[in-house]
Amino acid sequence: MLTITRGRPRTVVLVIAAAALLVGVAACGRGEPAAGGSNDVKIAIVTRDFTNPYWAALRDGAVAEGKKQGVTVDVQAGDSETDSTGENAKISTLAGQNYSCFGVVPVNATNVITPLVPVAQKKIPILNLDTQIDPAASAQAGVSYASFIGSDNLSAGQQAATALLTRMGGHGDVAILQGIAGEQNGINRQQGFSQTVAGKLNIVAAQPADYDQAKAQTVTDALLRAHPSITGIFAANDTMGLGAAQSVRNAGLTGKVTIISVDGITAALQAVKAGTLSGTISQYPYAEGELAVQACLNLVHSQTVPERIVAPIQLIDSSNVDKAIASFPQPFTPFANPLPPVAGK
Amino acid sequence: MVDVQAPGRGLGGRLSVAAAARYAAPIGLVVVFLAFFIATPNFLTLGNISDLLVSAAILLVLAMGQQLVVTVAGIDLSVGSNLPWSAAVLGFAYTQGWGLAVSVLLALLAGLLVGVVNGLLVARLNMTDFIVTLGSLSVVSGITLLLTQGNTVAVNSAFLRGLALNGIGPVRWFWVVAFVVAALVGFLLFRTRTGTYLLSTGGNIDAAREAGINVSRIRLIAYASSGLACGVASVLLVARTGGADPSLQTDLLLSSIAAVVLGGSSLFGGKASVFGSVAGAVLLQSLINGFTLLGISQYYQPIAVGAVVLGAAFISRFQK
Repeated sequence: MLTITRGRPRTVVLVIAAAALLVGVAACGRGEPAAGGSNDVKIAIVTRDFTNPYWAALRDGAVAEGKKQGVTVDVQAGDSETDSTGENAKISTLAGQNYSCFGVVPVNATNVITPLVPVAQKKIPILNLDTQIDPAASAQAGVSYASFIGSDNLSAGQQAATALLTRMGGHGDVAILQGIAGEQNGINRQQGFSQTVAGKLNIVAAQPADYDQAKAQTVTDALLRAHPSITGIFAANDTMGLGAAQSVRNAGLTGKVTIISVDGITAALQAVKAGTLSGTISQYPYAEGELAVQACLNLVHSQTVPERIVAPIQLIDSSNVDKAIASFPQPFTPFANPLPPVAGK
Repeated sequence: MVDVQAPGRGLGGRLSVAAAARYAAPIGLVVVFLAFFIATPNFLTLGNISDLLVSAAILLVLAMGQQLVVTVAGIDLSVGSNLPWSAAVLGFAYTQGWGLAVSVLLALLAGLLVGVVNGLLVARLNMTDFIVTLGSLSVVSGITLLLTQGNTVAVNSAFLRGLALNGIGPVRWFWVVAFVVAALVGFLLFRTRTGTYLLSTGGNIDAAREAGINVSRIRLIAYASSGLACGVASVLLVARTGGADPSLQTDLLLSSIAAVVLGGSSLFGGKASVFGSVAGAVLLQSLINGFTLLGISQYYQPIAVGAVVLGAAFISRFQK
């Protein structure tokens, strides 16, 4: 007991001393604005996480475009694909800083709306990136988006379906690996796929593998055992496509089971080159990041931007994978950028 | 640390180290505040600290529930799914048009229910706490997916949005909720007979039983309280994210345990510090907030959080 009673005051003194130091330094007048004049454009981009190479590519594109245009671009993210509160906290932290434009990829349809309310109230332009934010709930909260920039995931699913149909000869049993339950992009991809193959391919199973490579491998192991007739697999993203490819390879079925996934991450391009993955519908998150920064600059300079900017997508298979790898992370065919060139720079 | 070994100063050194161990989280908080303050002028501003405390509120409420369970030498892993479950019940009731008051009440009850089931399994059936709550983490997560069909349920309520954004003057509603919960837990632990029983049950369950304490009831109370805390946190979660997302919240689960450990409570039970756990929760959120302001790569953030927890574990070695 003696030790504790004698110890306590010392610690209290220590804490008070530290606090006093803190206040002392505070009094010495920090809080000057960050270096640079008031004309400095600062762009904040917030996405789900950086463990998914897709979002990492979006970040890299945004940062590279920021360097090119000579503006500050800060990209932040939560901890995982489902970290709705973590992403939320990042946005509200950034909302208190002097950013001139926000670009946000939500975790779900609503999680970013509340922290964006103060941003909207300050009349700072907001871009909705990649995944649609609930328009009705946003309107009620008084938040509006200058533009939606993203890939057409319905079309990605349709292109994947067409690719599978061609390779499977227009008939056969196919399985679908779904993303996280309720995630909108995954739902759209599956919808596009299912519509296109309806009446031609027989969908024998649709199982969630949560955009997770290991889980996709386990699920595919089970699917191949339960449905040995499967000759095609559609994975709603590349990480699951890679898991499925591993499983198919372990079962000695490479070449017999066609696998098409969506996203076009580096590992998937390598797998296409190696022949374990049949193809990927490449989206261009890097281009999406660039477009976001360009759109922000247009908005900051009071130019209008289209309400909806569709980022390019393309099927990568063995015929064009070398070109795709060579030009990665840029698309290897030019696409029509709907944004006017950035003024004032 | 060197002081401990130094001849002649050994006693004094050990004293201050043991004392520092007791206050690891508050001291850590001051150090982290100081570091971020030096690093960026944007950290110690009224707006940012206000936001930081709002961001910490959900974690803080969860940590308070976890605190009670840890006090009786238990652990509640079901927090990760009880939180989205309670939120989903709120969302479900709200979309059924039962009104916000009823929905919030049902969310609290839903959280409490999971806590009571955990408590019954652990206390009455003497099943291992770790396994029970690991099991209910999974079961409750599945039930949540069934209830929501895997979709996020939008809860579009001006009242809840106001709860997340507004307050009385500069005092935000989220702080008020978090403060009330912390005060209640503090009162329960240190000012009531139940609190004394919680501490003695955690300290030595056999001795407590022999002293005539109904230990299974006390453990039930701890788990039920943690469930109720999830219910309260779920209301904040829905207010902040505008809806109920059925996904597991493992980050918040792990942080709630980390906050309690940082706060100086022993995982072996019998020792609790509400003030420490509050400081622990705010400390963890401050790290994330500061790193966000500094633009430090996402990849370093888990390392920093882990290092702080390991540091706290190291310091607690010196605790008597």
